[in-house]
Amino acid sequence: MLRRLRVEMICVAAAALVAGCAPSIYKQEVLDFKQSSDKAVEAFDGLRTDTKTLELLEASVGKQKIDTTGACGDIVEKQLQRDAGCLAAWARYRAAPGGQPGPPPTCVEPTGFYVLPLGQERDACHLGVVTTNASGGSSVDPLQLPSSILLSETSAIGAKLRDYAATLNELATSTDGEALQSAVGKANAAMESLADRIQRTAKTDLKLEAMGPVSDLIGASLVSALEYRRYEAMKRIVDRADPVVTQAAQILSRASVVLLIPRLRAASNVVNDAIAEVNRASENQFVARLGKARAAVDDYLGLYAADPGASFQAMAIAHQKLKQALGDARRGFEALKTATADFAEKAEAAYKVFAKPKEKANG
Amino acid sequence: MAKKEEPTRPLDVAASDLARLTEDELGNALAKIRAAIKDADEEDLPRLRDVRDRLTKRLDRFVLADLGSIDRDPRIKDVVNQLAELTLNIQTAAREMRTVKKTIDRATEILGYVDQFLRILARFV
Repeated sequence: MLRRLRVEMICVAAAALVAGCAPSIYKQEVLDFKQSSDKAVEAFDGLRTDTKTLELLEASVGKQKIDTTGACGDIVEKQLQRDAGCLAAWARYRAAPGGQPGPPPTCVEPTGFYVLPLGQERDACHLGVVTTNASGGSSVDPLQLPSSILLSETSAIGAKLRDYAATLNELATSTDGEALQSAVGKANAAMESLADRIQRTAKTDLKLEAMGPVSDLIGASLVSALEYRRYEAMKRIVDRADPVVTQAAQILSRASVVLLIPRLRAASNVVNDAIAEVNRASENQFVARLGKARAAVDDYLGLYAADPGASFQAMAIAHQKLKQALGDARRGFEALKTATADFAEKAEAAYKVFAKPKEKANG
Repeated sequence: MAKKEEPTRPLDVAASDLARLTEDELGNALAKIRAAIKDADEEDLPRLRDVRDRLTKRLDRFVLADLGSIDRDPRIKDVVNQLAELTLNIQTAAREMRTVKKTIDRATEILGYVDQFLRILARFV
């Protein structure tokens, strides 16, 4: 009877065994990485604050007019507003009742993702000293206010590194896998108890050592079965969902940039006022007003960099990489990891700037 | 380094003029007013800021109108429907996952019963 029971157990285990395995995640290592990142970036920020104070004192030597290096903020009126009008015209055209929409709009409808060109606007928004050349023309030299450019870039890197580490940690501490392992753990414990009982009860040649691998096999098989079914379901759904997710993300990307226009314009007006204040400042007022102008430019660029359009593009890319990884895990896993991290970074940046405080509190 | 436009003289724009301007013209006027504000003296500044703020409000109203049109694009409804269908599929798959999890729990339970049975059996062997 016991020999038969043993054979049946092996059969059950073998039947349950399917391809695939549960990936192990280095939880502790990821947590350590997050905590260390927090500390390193906080230390960097402290150092940066001191450096900024010194730099402002340096800039106060001699009263000079300042301006932005390019047409900072003009993109809102010259491009974004125009594209918003074009999107609206095409939408009206498609929504016309009775299938007789009249002539199509003459503008070229922005398609695909609408992502704000950050590098171009950063170049245009550097604060610098206005210099006049021999022919009476003027230009703005950012090198005369040296460390402002470097600091704005590096501080953004620090903040993003922290956000990335925090997101990674959240991924590693997902409770779903733990619940499954716990269930399998119980099954294993029950199996070992059963083996022990068989040995003591029947006084047969069935060894405890022989039962160990069988219980492990059943446990592993159950995990594999669940993971395999989860994998199959995900693969099927993600394949079907990918074009829809991409299209949805594109629509949201375009709409969010239009939503952003008034906020960018308001922030740009604040920069405009702050520069006017610096240019009308007395020698005593110059340092304080320059600081306000810098803060205004930082606020404008912060708003611009938090571009929700870019986060929707990252969403679509991450989903596409998920689809590829599910198709071939060996080749797609690294790309999925990178794309997911990029998405987390962009979504978090947009969330921090644009989500309402009440929504944040509710988590 | 980006090329800058030459500073312009402060614009003398009346409210009635603003009403006639198109979206593009309003945008260009706003860029010129901003350039003028940067170098304006105390006397001109309040008037220039007032014109800029009115231009800003008018352009923002265009954005609201554009958003209304964009929101009515029939493509949006299509995508919403497709996403709703996919969500239903995912819910079905999630239910299947829960069933598998229950199977594991049941296997554990059965092994427990067998263990108990053998404990009882041991008394008679």
